[in-house]
Amino acid sequence: MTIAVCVKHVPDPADPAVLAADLRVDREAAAGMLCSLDEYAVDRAVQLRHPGERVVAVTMGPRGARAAVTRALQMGADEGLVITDPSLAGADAVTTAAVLAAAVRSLGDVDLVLCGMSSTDGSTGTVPPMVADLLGWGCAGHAVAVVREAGHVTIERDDPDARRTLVAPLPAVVSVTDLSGEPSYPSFKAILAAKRRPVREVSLAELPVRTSARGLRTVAATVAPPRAPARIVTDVDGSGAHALVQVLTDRFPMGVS
Amino acid sequence: MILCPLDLLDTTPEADETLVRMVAGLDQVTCLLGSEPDRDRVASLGAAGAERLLWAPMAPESPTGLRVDALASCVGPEDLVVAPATRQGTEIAARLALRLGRAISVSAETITSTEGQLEVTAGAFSGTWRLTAELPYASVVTMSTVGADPATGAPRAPEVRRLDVDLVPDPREPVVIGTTAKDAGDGPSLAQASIVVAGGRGTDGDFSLLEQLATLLGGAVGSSRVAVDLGWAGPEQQVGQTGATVAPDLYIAAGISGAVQHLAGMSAAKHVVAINTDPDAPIFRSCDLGIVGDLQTVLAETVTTVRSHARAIPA
Ligand SMILES: Cc1cc2nc3c(=O)[nH]c(=O)nc-3n(C[C@H](O)[C@H](O)[C@H](O)COP(=O)(O)OP(=O)(O)OC[C@H]3O[C@@H](n4cnc5c(N)ncnc54)[C@H](O)[C@@H]3O)c2cc1C
Repeated sequence: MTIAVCVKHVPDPADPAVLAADLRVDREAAAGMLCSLDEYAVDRAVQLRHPGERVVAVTMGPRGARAAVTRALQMGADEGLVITDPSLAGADAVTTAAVLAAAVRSLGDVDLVLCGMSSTDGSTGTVPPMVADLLGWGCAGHAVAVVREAGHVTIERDDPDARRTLVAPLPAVVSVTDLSGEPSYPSFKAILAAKRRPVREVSLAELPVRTSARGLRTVAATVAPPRAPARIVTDVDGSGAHALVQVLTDRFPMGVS
Repeated sequence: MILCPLDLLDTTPEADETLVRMVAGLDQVTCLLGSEPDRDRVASLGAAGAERLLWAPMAPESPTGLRVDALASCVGPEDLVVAPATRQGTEIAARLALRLGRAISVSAETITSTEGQLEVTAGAFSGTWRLTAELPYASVVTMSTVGADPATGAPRAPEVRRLDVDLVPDPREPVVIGTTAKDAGDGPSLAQASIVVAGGRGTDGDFSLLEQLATLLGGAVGSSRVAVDLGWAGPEQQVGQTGATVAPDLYIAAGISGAVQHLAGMSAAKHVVAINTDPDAPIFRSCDLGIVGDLQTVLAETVTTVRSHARAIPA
C-alpha cells in the first residue's frame, strides 16, 4: 500500500510577499520552503506507514518546487513525485486538485492521501476536499488526530461547539491541522539518507489532466497599511496598568462600570 | 439570486444574519437552512434581508456532502452562491465549485457586482496585503463576517419552504461516531466579543488574571498557539492563521511575541494593547499601546483598579 502526501513549495512567510507583474506570487523571487502546515501531513504519513508500505510526497509546481519534496524525504517519505509543466504556472485550486488527483491515481495502490489543512500562501484550504471528490473518495478534514485501521481511518476533529470523532472508509483523503502533533526535526542521518531516495519529475504529457480556467482574475493588490507607531509605556510603579485603564475608560466608558 | 448555505456546524445565527446583510444589497437572497426555522429565526433572517428560506433536515453531524447535494439541487445557472468562510463553509464551497465548474473565491471581505461581474476584496499573506479580484457573477464565494457591520436594508417577510429533494448520505463520506460538546461558558464567544484578552507563553500557564479581566469587561479569553500546544488554553481559543480570526474593539495581547501567524488572526482589531517584558518583541510594532513589563503585575493592578471603579459606580 501507498500513502500519498500532498505538499506545496511556498514562499517563506517570514519574508514579505512578492507579487509579480501579473499579481501572482513571484515564486522565482521568493526563497521557498516546504509549507509548514504540510510538515504535519508528512510526519503523520510517516507515522501511519506500516512495514513494507511507502510514503510518496507529491507536489505540483515549478522545478524549484522539488525542494519541498526533498524536505519531505528528509522527514521520512520514501519517494517523491513532482508534476511540473510550464502550462501550470498560476494554476487555480481546481487545476491543482485535478493534477494532484491524477498523480495519486498514477501511483496505483494508494489508500490514504494526507494533506495539510491549507497552504500558508494561498490559504484557501479548498484543495483537499477537491482532490477527494475528484478521486471519488471521502474527505475527513482538519484532523487533530488520525488512526488508521483495516479498511478505515478514524480522526478527531476540534469544532467550535464540540470535539468530534469521525470514521471514514478507506481509501480517503485526510487533512491535518497544526494541532495534530509537532513534526520531528530530521536528523543529519535522515538528511543524508534522503539523497538516495528516488524523485520522479513528470510533465503533463505523461499525466493527462483536463484543466480549464474558471475565470478568477486578480486585478489589484496593495500592501495593507501598517498600524501607526504605538505609544510605549515602560511599567514602573503601576504606570502600565494606569495606561491600560486609561484605554479602557476612554474607549469603553460603560464597559468599565 | 444569491444562495447562502447557513446553519453550518461552525457558524452562529448571528454570523449567518451578518452574512445575509452583507449580500442582501446585491440581489435576492435565498437561505438554505439545516432545520425548519422557528418564528424568531424567520423574522431575524427576514430583517437581515432574506427573501426565501429553504430548509432540509441536516444536523451538524450529517455529512458535509449532504449540504453540497442540497445546494446543487437548487442552484440555478445564473445564481451566485455565498457561503460562510468557515471550515465547513469552505469545504462546501470547494466541492460545489468543482461540481458545477464554477470559479471560486474564498474569504472575501467585500463583494460588489456590476454587469454580470463580481468584484471581491480579501486579505492575503497573513493580512499584509489586500487583493481585489474579478470573477463571473455565477461563482462560488466564501465571505468572512468577522468585524463586518453591514447596513440593514429593507426587512422582508421571507417565504419558507421545505426543500423537495431526497438527501441520501454517500457511504464514502466520513461519519461522526462521537461528539463531546464543549462548555460554552457564560461570556461572549471569541468571535463576538468586543474585548479579547489573549495570553501566550509569557503567561507561564497562569491565565487566571486574564480570565478575571475578561469577565470584568464582558470580554472573551483568547490565546496564542503555543498556549494551546502547552494545554493552557483550548483549541477554540487560539487566535491566528490556523485559529480564529477576531476583530474586537480592543485586543489585549499578554505575553504574546507577535509572530506573523498570530497577527494574521487579530490585525483587524480596532485597538491593540500589548504587554510584554521584551521591549524588542515584534508585537510592539503591531499595537497601539505597548506596555513593557510583567503581564501578571500589570494585569493584577488593572483588575484591582477596574474592580474599584465598578464598586464606585452603583449598578
Ligand atoms: C503554519 C503555522 C501556523 C501557525 N498558526 C498560529 C496561530 O494561528 N496562532 C498563533 O498564535 N501562532 C501560530 N503559529 C505559531 C507562531 O509562529 C508562534 O510560534 C506563536 O504565535 C508564539 O506564541 P507566543 O507569542 O505565545 O510565544 P513566544 O513567541 O514564545 O512569545 C512569548 C512572549 O512572552 C513574553 N513574556 C515572557 N514572560 C513574560 C512576562 N512575565 N510578562 C510579559 N511578557 C512575557 C516574551 O518576551 C515573548 O515575547 C503558527 C506557526 C506556523 C508555522
